[in-house]
Amino acid sequence: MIALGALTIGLGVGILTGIFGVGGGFLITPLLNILLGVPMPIAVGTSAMQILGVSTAGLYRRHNAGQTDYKMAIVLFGGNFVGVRLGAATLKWLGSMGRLSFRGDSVAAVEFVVLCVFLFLLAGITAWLWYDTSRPNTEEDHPTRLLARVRIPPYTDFPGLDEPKLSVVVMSYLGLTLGFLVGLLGIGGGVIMVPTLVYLVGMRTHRAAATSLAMVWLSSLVATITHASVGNTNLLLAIPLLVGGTVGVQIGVSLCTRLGSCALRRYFSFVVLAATLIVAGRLIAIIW
Amino acid sequence: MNTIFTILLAVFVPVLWGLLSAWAFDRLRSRRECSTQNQDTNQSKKPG
Repeated sequence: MIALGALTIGLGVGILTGIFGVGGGFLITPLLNILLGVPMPIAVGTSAMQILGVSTAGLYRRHNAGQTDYKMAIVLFGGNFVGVRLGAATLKWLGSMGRLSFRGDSVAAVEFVVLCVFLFLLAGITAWLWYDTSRPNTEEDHPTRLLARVRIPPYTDFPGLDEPKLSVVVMSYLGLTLGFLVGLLGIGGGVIMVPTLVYLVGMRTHRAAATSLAMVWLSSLVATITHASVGNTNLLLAIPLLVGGTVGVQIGVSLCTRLGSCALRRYFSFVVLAATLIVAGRLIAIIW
Repeated sequence: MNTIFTILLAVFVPVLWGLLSAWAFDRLRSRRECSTQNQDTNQSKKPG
């Protein structure tokens, strides 16, 4: 029954990925936990496995496109590696905190804290998508390049950027922050990394998407190894997620082609809003 | 030993599935494109 549920979740998230072009890793962990009752640490580890599979398929398709900024990926990965380990260690620490009591009912502390972080993350993504789709034009020609303006030595050059000199410290901390979320929540991080690279670093969208994919692959690999080493993965749950996800992406891509346009990002914000409401509903049910 | 086996399984199953599925869907797509091209060629060769 749980396998069938995982297949359905994988299929649904895969279809969304195929239609909207945004990885749905941030939906899998809360859905596994809330809809199927999978313990939070297992949901996080298994979600990392699913993201590893989907990003491997994505890298295979893009391997000869030549858009990836490998230097950027390596610089980000330095902090990212530490961040993933830190996130996984935090999850383990939360797991050892026992249970919290609300009005007589008790809930695992790890579940409550991770759902709270997810609520903020999903609400932030919804707000961002809403803002991004309501603007008349894309800001790609006028990114803020906020991170490029921070001057903390040492620096390194990224030839593909308009402002090629970037602080290694700043990029490492960016990698660390994203890695922490990957390790703690079992998300891929692409949905945060692509806008960050485009708007705060000044990278072109296609290059940012390809670089983000390489980063998602690396961090999901580290997250999978870290979570598997402490028994937070479930292969029997991961397989239906992988199968559903792969088939779902193909269905989503064909639906997207049939619809004629992929300018459906606004609808995607409704999907993320629905996920936000599910997480909020679960938290309210815990507290009340 | 058991932990190492779990880690290897957790890494290799998704990676192999990702590679296999991407390759299979690419093959399927290219075969479909080939058959569409052949149909177009046959139709253009028809007299009249």
